[in-house]
Amino acid sequence: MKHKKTVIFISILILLIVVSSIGWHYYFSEPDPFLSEDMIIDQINEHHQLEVAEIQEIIFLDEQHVVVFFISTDEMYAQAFWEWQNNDWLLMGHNAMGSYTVWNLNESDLYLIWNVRPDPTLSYVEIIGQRERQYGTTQGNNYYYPALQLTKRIDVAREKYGVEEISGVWKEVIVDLQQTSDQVDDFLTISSPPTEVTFGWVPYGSNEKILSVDDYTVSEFGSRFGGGIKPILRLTEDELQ
Amino acid sequence: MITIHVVELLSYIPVWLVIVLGAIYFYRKNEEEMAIWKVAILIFVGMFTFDFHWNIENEWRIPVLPLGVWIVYFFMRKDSERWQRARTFAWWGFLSSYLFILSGLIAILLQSIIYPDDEVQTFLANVENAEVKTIHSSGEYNISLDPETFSEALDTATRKELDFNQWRDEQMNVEQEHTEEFPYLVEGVKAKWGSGYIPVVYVSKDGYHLLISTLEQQYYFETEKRLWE
Repeated sequence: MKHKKTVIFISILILLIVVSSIGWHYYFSEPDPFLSEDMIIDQINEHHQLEVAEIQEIIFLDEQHVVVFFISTDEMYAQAFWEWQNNDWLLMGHNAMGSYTVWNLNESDLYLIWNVRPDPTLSYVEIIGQRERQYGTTQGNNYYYPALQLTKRIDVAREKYGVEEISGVWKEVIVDLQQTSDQVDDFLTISSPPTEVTFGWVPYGSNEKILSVDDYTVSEFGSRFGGGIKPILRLTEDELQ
Repeated sequence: MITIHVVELLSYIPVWLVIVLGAIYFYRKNEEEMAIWKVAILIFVGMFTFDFHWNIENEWRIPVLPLGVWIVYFFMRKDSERWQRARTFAWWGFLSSYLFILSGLIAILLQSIIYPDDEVQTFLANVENAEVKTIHSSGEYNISLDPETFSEALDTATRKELDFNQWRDEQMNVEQEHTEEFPYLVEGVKAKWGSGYIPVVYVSKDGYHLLISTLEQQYYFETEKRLWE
């Protein structure tokens, strides 16, 4: 009887070790080498119905997040996003609008990604982070969140596609407030109202003037997003706070 | 970013101590021969409760129904002798969940003593690398912060009631550009070690007011000296 118990105990132990090591391997192992160019082209075609004419560059944001810049056969300037997830490279989305994307990795690292069709009228672009002021009372406490109006200039005439990590004030405001609204900590915590910074982009011409929709057009369609990836929408002059 | 909440951690230690001591007491009193790990599991299961949530200042969870005790009873209902032995520990587990409420109350008291929220230094402990950044066009650009001036001004800070009515636009004039009372953000500061605060520090246009935003709530301070020259 005693012997039988030992056998059961040891087999449970072995089972636990096997299961947890498989789990460990599954979640924490180093990612496989990134896909070959042929596979990239196949996957973009299969998932997003785009024919790749040229891969411009493949950029690793970190070990598990990759951006592929490419031009499609119908001359769309595009970004495609891969993430190492569940032991596989997964295509998370694409942006073929010739515009700008923000990718929030692991809820803490923010990247600005862009791929713009070369255009002589376009001189630079400003990325705007806006938040309207919010105030009120929650559980007896007054709160006031100041309005935000952050700008970041990208020299797209020189750098037509690229990646830039969002840091400093932007990161502090965006990530910290995101934690404020996400974190569910029931110890010593009073829930604060959620606040979100919305992104926008504004194109400028050579004379530092904002380009109107007639002067400079980009495609409004051709994107799919998921997993912390958000397209940045264009702002017109009167949408600026 | 890792923040350590010292008071919270410390407040759990006496609770667990009491739980263990209680368990030892009942174990000896009943002349129990049950394996220690079984006792531990019984207490742990006993902690499963159906809670009444109560939001006052904090979210308090007040255990109402002893779910864990019922689970133990369900499995042992056919063996009355076994249930008699097990129930002491399961109920002890249920009672101990009230101890956590008590420790929460003590923690609030301790927090206010060690990290007083009416002292600006609780939120701005290290200001050597402090920089002022402009976050709205109402502010001037390129304000340079001298750590010495800044920390001297902080010494004159007193906490004030946060009254947002004075800052919102009373007349929403479309022609007029919005002005923001807090167009600056202080970057590169840290809260006092162990406080658990992750502060976002806004500064007013005039440089005499700080609006500190943390996970829990906001704190508003006024200084006698200006924060920069």
